[in-house]
Amino acid sequence: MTDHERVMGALGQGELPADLAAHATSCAHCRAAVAAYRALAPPSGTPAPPAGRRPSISASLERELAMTAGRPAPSLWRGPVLLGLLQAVVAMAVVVALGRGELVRNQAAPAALWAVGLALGACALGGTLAAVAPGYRRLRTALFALAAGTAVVLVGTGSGLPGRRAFAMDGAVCTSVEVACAVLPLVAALWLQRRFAFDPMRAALASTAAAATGVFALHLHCPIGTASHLYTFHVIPWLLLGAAGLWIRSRLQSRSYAP
Amino acid sequence: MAKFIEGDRGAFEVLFQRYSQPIHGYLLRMVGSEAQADDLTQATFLSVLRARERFRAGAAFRPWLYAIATNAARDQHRRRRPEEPIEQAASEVEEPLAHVDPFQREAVRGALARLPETQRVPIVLHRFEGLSFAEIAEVLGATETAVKVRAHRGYEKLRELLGHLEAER
Repeated sequence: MTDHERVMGALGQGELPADLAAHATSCAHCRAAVAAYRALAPPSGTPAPPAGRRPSISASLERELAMTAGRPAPSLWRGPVLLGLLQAVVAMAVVVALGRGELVRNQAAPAALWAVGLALGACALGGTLAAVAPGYRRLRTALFALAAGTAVVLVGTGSGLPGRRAFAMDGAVCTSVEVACAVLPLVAALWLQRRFAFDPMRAALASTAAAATGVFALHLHCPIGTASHLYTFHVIPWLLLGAAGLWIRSRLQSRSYAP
Repeated sequence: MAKFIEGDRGAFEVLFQRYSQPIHGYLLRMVGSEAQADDLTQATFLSVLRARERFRAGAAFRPWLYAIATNAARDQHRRRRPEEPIEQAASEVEEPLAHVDPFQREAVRGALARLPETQRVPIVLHRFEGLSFAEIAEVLGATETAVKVRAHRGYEKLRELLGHLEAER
């Protein structure tokens, strides 16, 4: 801890200890900080200021209180766990419906197929839970890093198999599937995000996790393995859906401002 | 808070009685308008009701409550249209400065308003609300060191902005 931090920590705790007082005298930065702190402080012996107006419980607060009285707090995890299940159901339903008996059409090497699949699953489900959980800031950062790493590996380990139709035609199909898969989870994620204060990192992670549902389904279903196809029609829509979710959340009114 | 989480209405009323006045004063300093501070105080306690499951068992209630109030004020500021003027602060905004002359009080208020939010919030919480830096770090979701650095820079800047007052004394 630096002397600057120690001076800050000691402000408001009575007289500064001798060593910190000496530092505050010799250090121009701390001298200024201490002087400003004292400029805001009432002189010693000043009687306490009169108390301000005491707010009363409003009608809307009273109504909410009546609704919640006698009911224990709901589980924090119910919503995100249900959303995780929804993501799993949507992804598997799409893979089964489009695959027509062939669940995995991706021709990539089995190790890459499994590694990317598991990483996408972790991004989707882990991101959904971490976007809601109080605390866990480092976990959210780690999940962003995992999503970025997964995108790089996804593009880098493609089978190289080209599509049968025109580049844009194949791409339009993949993008449509990805967006369609993401809609329901994204709407549910935004609804969950409204339960607490807007936090750009949480909102971006929730949207990225919801959009990963579609990327996961495509990862299993899409046989095209060229880097340009994977990058343009699997990864870029993922990024755009994440950004769109963040933008929409920033414009939604929060139901609660809890962190 | 534990009783309230179990659905005890009386426990919420106790929390409201204890904290509504300081939270109102804090929000008044943050937004500078009595009417907005009233609304935000209600929004803060409504948030406590609606998001009580987000309170971590064993954590301190006061930093959590101030975090909610800070988020509510930020959200209100974010949503305010640029052309919408900030209402002048009510006279009791600077309660702890009631002893100083009105000119100095106004200068302090102006100087605080000129600080960036990242520096103003730690200073207001530290100097006026009496929160420790550990509590402020919880409120802002930052490390204690980061909060001290922000407050230190804020106090330094305040000193610069208020320098003329010293010269005039």
